[in-house]
Amino acid sequence: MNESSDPRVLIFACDWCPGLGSDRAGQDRLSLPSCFRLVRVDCAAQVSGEWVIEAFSGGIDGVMVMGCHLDACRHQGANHRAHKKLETLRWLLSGLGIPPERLCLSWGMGREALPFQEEVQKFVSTLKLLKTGKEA
Amino acid sequence: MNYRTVSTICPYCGVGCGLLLQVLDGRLIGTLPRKDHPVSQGRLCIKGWNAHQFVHHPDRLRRPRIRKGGVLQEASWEEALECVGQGFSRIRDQFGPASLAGLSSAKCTNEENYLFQKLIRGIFGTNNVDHCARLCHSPTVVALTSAFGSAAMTNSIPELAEADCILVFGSNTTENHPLAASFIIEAQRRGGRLLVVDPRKIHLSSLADLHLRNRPGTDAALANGLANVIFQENLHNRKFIEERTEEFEAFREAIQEYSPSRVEEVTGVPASQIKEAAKLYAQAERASIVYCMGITQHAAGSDQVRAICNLALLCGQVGRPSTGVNPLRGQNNVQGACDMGALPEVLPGYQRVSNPDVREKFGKKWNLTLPAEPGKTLMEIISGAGSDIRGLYIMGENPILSDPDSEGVRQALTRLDFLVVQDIFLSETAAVAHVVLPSASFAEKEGTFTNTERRVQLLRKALDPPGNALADWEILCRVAAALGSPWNYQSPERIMEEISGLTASYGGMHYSRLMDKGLQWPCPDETHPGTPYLHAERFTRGKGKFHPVRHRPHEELPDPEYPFRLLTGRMFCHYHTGTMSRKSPALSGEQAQGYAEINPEDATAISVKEGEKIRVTSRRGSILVPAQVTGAVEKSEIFIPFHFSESAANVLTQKALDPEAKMPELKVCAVRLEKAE
Amino acid sequence: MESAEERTKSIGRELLESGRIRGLLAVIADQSGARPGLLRKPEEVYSLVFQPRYLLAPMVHTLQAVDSKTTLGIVARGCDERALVEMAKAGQVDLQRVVLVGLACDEETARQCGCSRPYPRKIDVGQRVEGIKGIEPSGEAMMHQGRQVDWTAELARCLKCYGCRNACPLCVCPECKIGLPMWVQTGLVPPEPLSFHLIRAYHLADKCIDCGSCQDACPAGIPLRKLHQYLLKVLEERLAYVPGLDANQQSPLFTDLKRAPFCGPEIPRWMSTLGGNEQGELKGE
Repeated sequence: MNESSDPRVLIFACDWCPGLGSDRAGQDRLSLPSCFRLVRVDCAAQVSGEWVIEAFSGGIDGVMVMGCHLDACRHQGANHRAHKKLETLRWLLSGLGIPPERLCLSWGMGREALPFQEEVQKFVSTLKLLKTGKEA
Repeated sequence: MNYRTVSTICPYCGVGCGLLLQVLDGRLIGTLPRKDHPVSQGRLCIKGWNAHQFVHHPDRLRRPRIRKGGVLQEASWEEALECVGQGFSRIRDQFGPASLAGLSSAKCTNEENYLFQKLIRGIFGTNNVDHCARLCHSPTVVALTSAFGSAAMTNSIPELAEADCILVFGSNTTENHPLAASFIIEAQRRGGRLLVVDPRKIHLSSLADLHLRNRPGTDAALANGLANVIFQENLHNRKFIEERTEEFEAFREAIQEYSPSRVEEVTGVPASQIKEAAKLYAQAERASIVYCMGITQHAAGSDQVRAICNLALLCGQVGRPSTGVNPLRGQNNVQGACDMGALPEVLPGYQRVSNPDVREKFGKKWNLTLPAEPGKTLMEIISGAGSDIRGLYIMGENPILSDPDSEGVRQALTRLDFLVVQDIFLSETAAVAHVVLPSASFAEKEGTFTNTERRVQLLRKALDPPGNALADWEILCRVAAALGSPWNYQSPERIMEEISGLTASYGGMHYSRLMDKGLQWPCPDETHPGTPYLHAERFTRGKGKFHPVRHRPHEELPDPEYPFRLLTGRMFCHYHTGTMSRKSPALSGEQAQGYAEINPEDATAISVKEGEKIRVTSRRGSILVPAQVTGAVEKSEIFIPFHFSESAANVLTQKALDPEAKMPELKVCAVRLEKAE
Repeated sequence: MESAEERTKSIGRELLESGRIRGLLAVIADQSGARPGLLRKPEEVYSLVFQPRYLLAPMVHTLQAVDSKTTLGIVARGCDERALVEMAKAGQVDLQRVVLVGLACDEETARQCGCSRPYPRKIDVGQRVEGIKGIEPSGEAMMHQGRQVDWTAELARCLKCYGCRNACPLCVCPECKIGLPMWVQTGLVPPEPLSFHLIRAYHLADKCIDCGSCQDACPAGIPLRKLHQYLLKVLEERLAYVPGLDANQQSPLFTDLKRAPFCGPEIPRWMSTLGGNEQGELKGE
């Protein structure tokens, strides 16, 4: 894999579902793309739009926000609000011509090791496709 | 709960935007843009939006101060005025009037500038009066007067929006005159072409259709190159040249050697670009030239401006809307300070002191005898301090930071027998004075400012000055009394009545007519509507005059000991010596400290990273300044804004003068760089 | 027949005389031009005018911050009212202490502003005219094509005057994020477009009342309003929410998906993860 052409990904993962998933994926030594950094938060609702915007401004190719299942948020459905806010941000980005696929919102998918790995790999492929699609 | 908005004019730059100061229970709480202002039209730049912030700063001078035992101590007005009166009278009586001088303020009102030069001329008895226009647009005054007969922007700012081609020479417009840049941007939206001449990459050059990135100080050569192409391609306006100009032949001969390839050698701008720019300018229906410090602050400043006038004459781009030669004056009232004769060779309205009829006219009105000998310029006054000049009265000016060779200025000022500084803050210059007089800011007095498009506009008082501070015009009346010649001016309006009686171009400028939109001079009488653009039927001097101009290299070129070229200038969130902007949280929050733009290759060569300090040294002095690594400057060039006293660009600059305008070469000098310990 | 201005003056005079309001925010005119002001005495109403249009709502916030007890009057256009509603939602204005003199804009003003609701809910003065519907197709098409070039070019002209932020009635956060070096590099012009403008648009997503003050204040002529209008349209279609209309209606971005779900054809990604064994019902999608 060519390091330099890999899309750079920033993942915000809440400590609960995706937190467990990422821990287990690590324990199980699952193969993951090397181009991501993971930031743990108490709840995905802590991820404010500015963080995502800063990431894009700084040259990150894709941001992924992983939280718990929409009915399983420990903080009284805070992930709903997160989803709506970040979805709004996605619309805004798309309005400015930034592909909305660059922001991925994932709820409840990352609880186990394998789903976590799949989610990340899927996102990275989407980003790669965006890049080559653009260059084509 | 007493809330009102007060309509006034911005105290920062020469665009002169309309502001509404928000006053709540006697304090300024904010600034709003005035929607019905003819230029700013409901918009402001970051400085304008925060024009109120410095007014209530705790450092505002509230009481006079007198130096006792080496330290400035607070005093009463009586004491201070007595001291001032005695101080200057003693020197005048002992050493003669020519040993006194005054530096007026381009930030004070027209009325105040008028009174100041009246005091210096009539009471001190000398024509040694000048102000900071010497440091910025004195070449403009010289060159535009010689070429057109009028020393001011030929057209109006909003007209720029309808130009088909705008050629900008040495102006970082979006940062230093943002609301003028607003119209340039609009012109581009309408399909107009923007050509920017600047050694640096600036915001405006990134928006331009063509960026002619020339070497510093080669603007005359470039202008000649453009003229050469225009003439060779037969794109010049024969009819205009024939009917409305003179001395074309000498000019035509002079530009012959400035072929595109020769100009490329001198300026560094590719010949192809020169040709393209020339055609764009010459073929435009309405072409405007806009220029600023980039071409004036050189020892060849006057010639550079003349070269630009030549271009406009060559193509007949003067005397119609959206054309012309448009200097963007810096200070809010530098145009007014010049109009009011705060200059050594002229009285108000540019009437020459050497003319006996002029002296008689003013002498009769003022009941004074006026000196005939033109006085010393700013640079001469400073360099003569301690020898020829023994007493100096400075109003609203900070030469230690704004003049070249800061250390030299400081030493010169300390050699004076008597220095009085009148200001709103204890500036670096006020700090070395014998007497400091506290004055009112723009928000605390009435009067008029004249912006760069010759528009005379009214200020309105929003609140009282702090402590015992007084409006400058009131202080000047009291100083006059302390010197034995009491004046009896009831108000700034009365002062303007006097001015309009003596100054043809201000003839119709009564406050009742200036009310909400001001008037652009010339406005000779009460019925005249003001003049948006000049030289429509004829030039002020009759015919436009061509001047052959040759490229002259800088006085101080880089050499092995000082291999870098320093460029000085400004940035968007600060103003000049920072006396007001650095006391405004919103502005200093954007940029709290100085910096030096340095090319990445040069930074690597001296092992300096972003933010690390560089030691910059010239023959005059040395400063420490944090590095900003950017490709905006070429290799072997650095750029330092002059707003920051702790890393003052003018510690480094040199005093080579333009022989006619006596303008110092502030824009460039030679320096060397080292990584700071 | 009384003119709209005369009618407004008499209402204002009455309100001041009766002592119901301590002052009336209006645009007043004298020799120095027309500008916003606070009329305190009944006899001062003679100077009241309508043009040029200044948004007066922000001054309610300013004055209530100084004195929260007294009631103020305001000659309120549709935009003023919507701004007050949103400010009330954010707790920045006490609507109980504001008396609105509802002014419906005339056709010319409505056209100049390109306004979609040029009238307040209760009209005391003026005749209601229908507004300009939504955003122009070209604006929408421009966005949905994702022609980034346009926004890149537009935002590259930004002079960082902060005029958009300063003029906006809803931009009143004590510590504005876009002025902080943490989010937007200071001292740089043009500012990084994504940081400065995107953060602002995002923060205003559910607050913007389309008064156009931001665009009016922009010296670079950037069509800021189009960006906000686009997002407002999306919010209207996808979350059935329009700011500024109902002071009791909370923004959907603050509530969960049960109380304020998405609507429209788009099925959010998470549906596929539900598996159908979740407790409770979900309205809408």
